[in-house]
This record gives sequence, structure tokens and C-alpha cells, in this order.
Amino acid sequence: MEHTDVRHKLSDYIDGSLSTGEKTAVDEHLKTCQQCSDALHELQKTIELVRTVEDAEPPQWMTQKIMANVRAEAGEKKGLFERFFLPFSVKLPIQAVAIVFLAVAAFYLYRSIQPAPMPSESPVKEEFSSRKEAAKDRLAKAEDHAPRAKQVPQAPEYKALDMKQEYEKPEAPKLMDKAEAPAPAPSKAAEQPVVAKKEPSAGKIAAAPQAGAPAMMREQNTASSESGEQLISKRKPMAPAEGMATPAKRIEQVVQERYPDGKPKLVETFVLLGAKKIKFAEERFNSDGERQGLQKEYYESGQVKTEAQYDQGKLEWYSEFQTDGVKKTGKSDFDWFWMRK
Amino acid sequence: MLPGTNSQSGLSYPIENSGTGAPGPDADGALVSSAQKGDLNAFEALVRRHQKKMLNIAFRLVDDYDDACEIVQDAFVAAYKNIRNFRGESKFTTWLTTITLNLSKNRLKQIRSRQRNIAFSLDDTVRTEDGQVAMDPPSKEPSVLDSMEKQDIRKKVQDCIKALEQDFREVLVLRDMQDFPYEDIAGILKIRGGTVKSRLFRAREMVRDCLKRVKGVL
Repeated sequence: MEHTDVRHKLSDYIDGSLSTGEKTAVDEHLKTCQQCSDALHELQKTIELVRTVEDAEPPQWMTQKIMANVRAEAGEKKGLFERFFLPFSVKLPIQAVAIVFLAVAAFYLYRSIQPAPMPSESPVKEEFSSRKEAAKDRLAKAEDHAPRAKQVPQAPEYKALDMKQEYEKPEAPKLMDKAEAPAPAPSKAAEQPVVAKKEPSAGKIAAAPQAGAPAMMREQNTASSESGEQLISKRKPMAPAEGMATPAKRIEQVVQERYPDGKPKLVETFVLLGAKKIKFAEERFNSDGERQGLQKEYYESGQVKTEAQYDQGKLEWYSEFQTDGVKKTGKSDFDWFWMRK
Repeated sequence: MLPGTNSQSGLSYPIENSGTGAPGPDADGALVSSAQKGDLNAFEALVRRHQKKMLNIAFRLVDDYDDACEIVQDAFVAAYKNIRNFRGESKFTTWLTTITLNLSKNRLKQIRSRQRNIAFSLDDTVRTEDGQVAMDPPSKEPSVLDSMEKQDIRKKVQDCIKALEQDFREVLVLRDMQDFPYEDIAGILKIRGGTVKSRLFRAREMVRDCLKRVKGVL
């Protein structure tokens, strides 16, 4: 074995990692080679010196510091996962109770925000009935305040006489047939005028063709007066008993004449006071739905209150008759406006 | 004298706080499986058992005690984070040494890049006004002549180890200072057994040559 080969194996020889054959060959060479033996001794001495180097001791605080860092790490892990899911024996019942609570709360919340069951009557009818009820009360009040109405001449608030009527394109009225309407009772003279100042709602109903309201709504307003009464009875069962002293009042519009195409030509409005039927107004229209001809408004006594002449929706003149016989006339909206002031 | 002393544990786990005598794999295995289940006391026992060995590996590689302490702390925290991934295919010591070694290499890279940016170091040789190398002042510690000689030899050996290139130093430290078997060193450094032997041989020769240059050592 050459010197170089032996010296390359000296390190493994010292570690005892040579095979038996290699070790025997190295041993044989070392017996005869002083240089390689010296090299072996130097290498052994070197390893011994390396191993004499003292180990450094860890500082006393090292374990504590490492474990503090480890515990902090473990705490973070716990915060992310274990705090929510462990221990399972504790968390599971709590979570189950929380889920049940949330489910019950959600159910009641859902119930509370769910829309109330729809009444059988439409909101339009309900609105109308409430307006109707208000109108009735005001009619009764108007009867009570009749003397005041005598003193203060009222401008015809009939929608047909409103200033704005010239600028609004009235629609053709769609009203119930004459056959459907109850037979008009003959007007009877009353001691007091029915309406000194026409109620807004009543006037709106009476002037429905002029007001430009949707046709469906007008039909409901006109045709459902009876159902409106029923609604009132339903919603206020005690009302008839309380109101026995005053008979029920209704407003009814009846088409007395129609054009060949079915559009109303002459519409009469009545106030029904129990069995008494009092004519309230006469309205005439042309085939385009505009006011045409003489329009009339009556007191409850049957006396004419207002007359107005229209031509294709435009006011030509009007006359107002007060119960004491005084007559005031005008020829234009300006006149009416002036008189009102 | 290096700082630090052996600490005594009050835990019920057997603690072997020795830098040379590696604990048996069975004892580590039980502690490791307990630590994997979240037992911090078991992990603390592992820390006490292996911290000195890891400290010396790091210290011989980075040659700075404080850096080595930080490396060991980081290594154990990293080991705790990943202990669930440790499947016992290798010994715990080998696995932990791999972590420590990698962290030491990273620290060495940082130190070297830092040193490139520093004009001079406090550890540099001090030169006098006439250009001569100033001698270190003699130690004021009262010591026996023999002890001074031994310390001087150890210092020179350490300097020779420090002078090794990193690849050779790693093998020498693991084999001659920490007594790792060849196969473990191969696993830690991820090199073949033959490479471990050849590197070790070269490292020993370099240290020998270094010590021969030092008068009176060899």
C-alpha cells in the first residue's frame, strides 16, 4: 500500500470505520513506515486537541426564554384553533345552545317582519271607506253649521269650477249604469241645506271625471260605496248603534245619458240619507270627456245652488244662488276669484 | 471560561443536560410523542436535554456566543412549531441539529454581509504607530502556568477550527466535537457518507497543519 493511500485512510482508521482487510493492510504498512506512523500520531493528537476544546454552557435563562417563546407560540395556536374547538366536551354544549337560541331568534324575527295577512278589502277601498266615513262626519257637521253657511257665501268649490279646470284634460267618466243604480228618489225639500260647503272627498268623488284620477280608482270609488259601508260596519261594529240617531249617508253617481260609444253625457250625483235621495249635482260632458253645457249644483232642499256654462271644458259663465235669493254671477275665472276674495 | 452553568430541572421527566452523551432515542421518542400531543413539560425536557449540544454546534459555526444563544432559541421554537411533522424517521437530535445548522448558516450569511459593510472590526489586529502588531495584554487572572498553557493551546485549536472553511468545519464539529456518527452527519448535511469521510479527513489535516504552524503545539 502506498503512503498516500495509507494517509488517506488514517482518518477512517482512527474512527474505526475501515473494513477488516483495509485495517490489516494499514496496520502492516504502519509497522514498516515511520513517516506514516508519525502522521497517524499527529492526526490522533490533532483529534484529541479538538476534543479538548471545552463546551460552552448555555446561559441559565435559556430554557426559560425558550419555553416562554414556545408558550407564546402555543398560545397563538390555541387562540386560532383550540380556543374555539377545545375542549370539545365544554364547547359542544355551548355551541349547541347558541345554535338553538339563534334559530329561535331567527324564527321570531322572521315572524315579526313578515307582512300582516292582507285584508279581504283592497287598500283603495279601505282608503275610500275612511274618506267616506270622514265625509259623512263632515256632512253632519255641515248640517250643524248651516246658518254660518248662509251668512258666508261660499265659492263654488265644485271641481268643475276650479281655476285649474282649463288646464286639466278631464277624462271621460266611467260610471255605473243607470240600471245598476238605485232609482233616484224624488227630491224632497229639506229644512236645511245639505251642504253649504262641499266636502273635499265628496267633491272629489262628484268631480271624479274632471279630477284626472285613474279610471280604475274612480270606478272603485263610485261602484264600491256600498261595499265601503260594509267595510265600515266590519271594522267598527259598534258604529251603527252609536250612529242610530243620524241615518247613513251615501253619495251616488248615476249616468243619466250616454253617447253612442258608451261615454257618459249626463251624470247626476245624489246624496242618500237613509231612504231619502237628494240630487246633488248635474254634470254634462262632450264626447271627449270635457265639460260641455250647463252644470248644476243643488242644495238639499232641491234649490239650485250653482249653475255654470262650459264649452269644451272651458268656463263661460256661472251663477251662484244663495238660499235667501241673492244671485251672484261671473263670467270668468277672474270673477270667481275676485268674488271668493 | 464560557458563561452559563448546568441547570437543574424540577420536572418529573428525566433530564440529561449533557453536551457529549447523547440521550437514547427511546427516551427522546417518548418525550417527542408527548410534546406532539401538546405537552409543554415534555418539550421543556427536550429543551433541557439538547440545548447545550445545539448551543455548541451553533457556537462553533458562528463563533459568537450571543448569536449562538439566539440561534438555539429560534431552533427550539421552530422545532416546536413543526414537531407534529416530525415522524421519527430520524433521531430527534439529528432533526434538531439540522434546524440548528440551517439557522447557523443563515446567521453566518447575515454576519458576512454585515462585515462587508463595516470598515473595520473591534476584533481586528491592533497595530501600533510604528506598524508593529500590538500584543494582547496579559490576563490579570491569577492562574497556574500549566493552566495558562492549556488555555493557550485550546485558544489556538479554536482558532484553527475557526479558520476552516464552512463545509469542513461543519463536519469536524459534528464528528470530533459532538460525536455524531457518519450516517447522521450525512443526514444532517444531506451529503453522502463518502463525502462525509473525505471532508472529515481534509478538515483534520487542515487543523493538523494549522497546529503544526503554531509553535509548540504539535
